Amino acid sequence: MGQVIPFTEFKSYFASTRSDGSVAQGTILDTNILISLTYEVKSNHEEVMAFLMGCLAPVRDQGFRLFTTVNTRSEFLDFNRRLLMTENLRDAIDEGSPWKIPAKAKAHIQYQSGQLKRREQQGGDPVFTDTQIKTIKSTFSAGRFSGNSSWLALCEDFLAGQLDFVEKSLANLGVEYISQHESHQKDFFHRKIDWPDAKRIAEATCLGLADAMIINAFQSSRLPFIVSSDFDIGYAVLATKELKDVVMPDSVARKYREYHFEE
Amino acid sequence: MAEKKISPREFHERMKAARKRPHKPELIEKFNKIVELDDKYEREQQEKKPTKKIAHPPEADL
Repeated sequence: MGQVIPFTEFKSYFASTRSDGSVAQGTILDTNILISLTYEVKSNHEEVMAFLMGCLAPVRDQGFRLFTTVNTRSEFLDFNRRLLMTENLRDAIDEGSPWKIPAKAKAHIQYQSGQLKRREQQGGDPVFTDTQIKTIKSTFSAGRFSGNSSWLALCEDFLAGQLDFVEKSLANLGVEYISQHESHQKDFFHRKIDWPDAKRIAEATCLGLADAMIINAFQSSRLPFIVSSDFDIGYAVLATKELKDVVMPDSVARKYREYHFEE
Repeated sequence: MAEKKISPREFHERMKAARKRPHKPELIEKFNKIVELDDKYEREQQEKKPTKKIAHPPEADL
């Protein structure tokens, strides 16, 4: 069984992994870590920022590598897409906004924004879901003379080039994309990433398949640990014998005290 | 020489600034023009609709 390492115990844990020559010098950053780092609204933003500034950035500068998988990268880009659309749409209906938003669309954005406020009060992110964005999108298109042209103009202004910017910023931060298909990264893996393994991981603790794919890529790698703030990832690691370690914010790591996992 | 990496704090600042990117005036104008044409079209369609005549009830002739 893997261990859950709280951020505050990372330095001594990391020193022990450095002396193990069989592991690769790098880690995978889970989507939620990248989101918490980016989005100051998240409750653990400061905790994640302090960890990256104080622990990961110094070792990164000494050659320790930071990675995203195809899943964590696409989930992070997707979050940014929804965040940009949410904030821009809400600004666009503000009094004094230069955008002349049609009355029906404005009413929908206001209604969906109200839903966000309720979600935020319950601890969720004030970011539109895809279902909400689809509803708003339809009010810009259906029955109008121009069809979808107005929505496309909004997307062009709010989103064009932004996902490239996110990826470029990740590269500037030193976060690389890890893939078995890259010949120069072959040494980071000890086995083929296989779909049946992801299903077994999902079945073991009812972990979502997207998370199971991240864990599976990590398990197939020679990286010693993953950094995540997802309770389910820590739960999977503690409950499954074969899984490796996860480094987590103390605020999340504390929650496992109430559970009794077999050694 | 490899490019110097940015700090996590700089990364956050960059991402925050990207969310506040100024809008392109030409796209605002394009959008507003589309909405204006849509509104004009809808008004014209409304005007084209024949007005409903109220049926003359037979008892009114009595």
